[in-house]
Amino acid sequence: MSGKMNIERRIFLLMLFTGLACFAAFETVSFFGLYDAQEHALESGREMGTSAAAFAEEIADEQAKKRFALMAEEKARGVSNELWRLQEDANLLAKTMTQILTHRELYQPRELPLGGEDPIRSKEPYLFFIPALRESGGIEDVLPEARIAANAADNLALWAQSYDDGHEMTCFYASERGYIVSADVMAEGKEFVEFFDEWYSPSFDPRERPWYQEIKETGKSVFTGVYVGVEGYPCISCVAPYYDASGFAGMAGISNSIATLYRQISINTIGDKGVNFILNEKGEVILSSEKDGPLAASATPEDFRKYGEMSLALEAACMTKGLSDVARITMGGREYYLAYAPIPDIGWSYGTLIERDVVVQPARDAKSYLLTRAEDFSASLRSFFWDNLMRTAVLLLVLLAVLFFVSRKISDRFVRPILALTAGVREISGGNLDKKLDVRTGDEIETLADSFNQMTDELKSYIDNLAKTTAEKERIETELSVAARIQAGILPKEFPARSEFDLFASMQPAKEVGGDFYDFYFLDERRLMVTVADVTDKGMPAALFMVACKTLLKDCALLLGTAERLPEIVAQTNDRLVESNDEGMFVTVFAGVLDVESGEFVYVNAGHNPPLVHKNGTVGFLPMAKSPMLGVMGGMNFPVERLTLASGDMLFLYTDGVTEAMNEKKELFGEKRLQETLAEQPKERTAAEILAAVRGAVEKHANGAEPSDDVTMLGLVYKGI
Amino acid sequence: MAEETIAFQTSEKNGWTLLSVRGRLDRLTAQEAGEQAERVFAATQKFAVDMSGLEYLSSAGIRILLRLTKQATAEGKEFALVGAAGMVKVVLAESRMDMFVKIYASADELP
Repeated sequence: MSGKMNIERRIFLLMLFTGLACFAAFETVSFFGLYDAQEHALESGREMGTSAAAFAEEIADEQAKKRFALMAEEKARGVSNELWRLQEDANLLAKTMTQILTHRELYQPRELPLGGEDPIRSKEPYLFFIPALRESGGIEDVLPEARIAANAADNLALWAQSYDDGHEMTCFYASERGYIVSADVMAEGKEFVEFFDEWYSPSFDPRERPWYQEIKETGKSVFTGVYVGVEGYPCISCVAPYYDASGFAGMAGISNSIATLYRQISINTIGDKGVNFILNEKGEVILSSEKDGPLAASATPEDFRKYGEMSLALEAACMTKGLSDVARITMGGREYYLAYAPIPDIGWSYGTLIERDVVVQPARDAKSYLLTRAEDFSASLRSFFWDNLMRTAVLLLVLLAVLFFVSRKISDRFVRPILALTAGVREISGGNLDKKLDVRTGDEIETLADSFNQMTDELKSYIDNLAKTTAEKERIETELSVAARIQAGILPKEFPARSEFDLFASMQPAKEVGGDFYDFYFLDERRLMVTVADVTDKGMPAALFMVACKTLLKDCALLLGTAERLPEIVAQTNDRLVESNDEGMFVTVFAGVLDVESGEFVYVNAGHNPPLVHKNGTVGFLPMAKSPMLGVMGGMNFPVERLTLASGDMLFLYTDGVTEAMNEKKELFGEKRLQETLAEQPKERTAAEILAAVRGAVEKHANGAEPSDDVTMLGLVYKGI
Repeated sequence: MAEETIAFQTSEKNGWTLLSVRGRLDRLTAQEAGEQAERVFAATQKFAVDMSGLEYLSSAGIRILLRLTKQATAEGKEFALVGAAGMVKVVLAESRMDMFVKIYASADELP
């Protein structure tokens, strides 16, 4: 059993494997689904990070460009404003001087301290003569005019006052004729104007400066280049021409520290990384937030339009043309933004150079942030995936356990009725037919159990029937054997040993005993009564009826006692039988009385088959019955017939069991064969021998076929006295 | 067995209900024949058994016939046997059935 696959195990394994297969399929699908989703999410995350970063960089670029453009424009405007004031003031100073010199009659000569001789305080106007004039001694010639021009000195002082921001500056008029009216603002801590070497150098002549020539020719104000002032601060000057009645008379100018401007340039909106600079019309850096490097302002400036880095050179060219743009250039292998805008009226350009890395750094930060987030997302997704996998695995284990127990349970439940059935069937086969299989599963097993129950019922009923049948059979057989014993017991077995006759009779009962009987007895010394009868039925009733018939007949015969009263004997017997014949049974009777001395034989044949008589060498039948059988109707007459036997004659009485004995072919033995058989018997044979011969012939004819009726014979051989 | 050895047929003749019995009327067939005859007899006043087709008649058959005879007497009905021949006729004669019941040679002779 254990090595074999019983149904329980099969169901169990089937359920288990089905469950497992389902789980495996589900797990595989969900695993790959999750795995794909995870991979997809990772890929998407990366792509999103990258594209978002690229987008952010792009946006950052654009924003930076816009911002830089605005900033450059603003800065350029700021610078412009700063310079514009200087220019306006220079022009105003020039106009004032022109007014004075063209209307000299309105002014008184005015004395001013002489520069280089008198101590000149800050913001105090003074008069100064160029070294060449002093050497040539032409001072006296210009002095009257200089004293008139000195009327503008208050104006200068006023302007100087307005420019005082703690840095050095100078407001001046430089005359064509060689004198200079000036007011200086000294740096803090300096009280007096210092006349440094240049003023005294024999070569110093403002009229020889290129911008002097320029304004003289153009009649327009102009800015000088940036130069380093006394303090060491970069300075710039704006000069404007003034005139007298005869034409160009000199230049008015304001030289101012551009500390403010420088500060403005130096302030970087983009951290510390940017470089702000101003490019003049010649492509030279005149002002820069950088102290060193290629973009620093230098005493020997170079033209950036011819700079080694092509991209910068090109942009420098654009700057000098007064264009504005935000360009990307490469310098020293690094990327930069160059934002520039023109400073109007002056022909300069303001530029800001910023390393691109600084600008796109936030975008790069954003990119790296996004990528980090994407990685984080991926990591959490992966972790989620594995967690999920673990959870599913745990769930799977739990479900497996549940499946295991449920399968066990179900297979057990499935098999239990079968086991119950088996046990029940075993019990039934053990002999307990009252055992009822109680299986209520509502399925084929219940049907099977019901079939078993039905089978058991049928078996039981069959066995009961068999028992009944057997009992009935036994009863019948008992009855038959009783009947047979009655029949046999009532028949006389001792034959009278008389010299006058030889008598022998036999009754061979059939399996189902009939109601045949024979009888013989003496009515007196001479008269022998012989009877053969056949009750028309079988079994116990017939046997009893036969007993009644035999007894009545004998009683009547013995009572009445004579052969002459034989009809009475039979009639009385008949009447008595009819009285008590509720069963409707009848009996054929052949009764005769032999006078053993005379051989006279008186007989009544009541419906019986006629006996045979062997007489005079021939065997013949007695006449047919003249009386009806007994038991049918009362009050009948039974007339006698007579026969006289001679010595050696033989009477053969029989019942139809002899003539109707059949073989397998249903052929009757018949009267003819009986007659022939008797005829064949030798004369000296005894009655017993003759009967044995007849029986032998009958048995031979039957050839083994079972006799259906009693075979009764009575032989009477008359010998006489 | 019984079906093989005996057969019945009912007909009408001269106001008699005729039950023709064919085959063997012996112990084996007696019960069936008796029932058959009683069934037919119950529905008629004049009842005859045609024995022309009967091959064999045993004492059991005689008993049936006697029972029918007694029944006819008790119920005031007419009963007759017709067409007996050969062995059957001999048996009827031997048992003196003529003393209890009317016997005709053929159905045509029925009154």
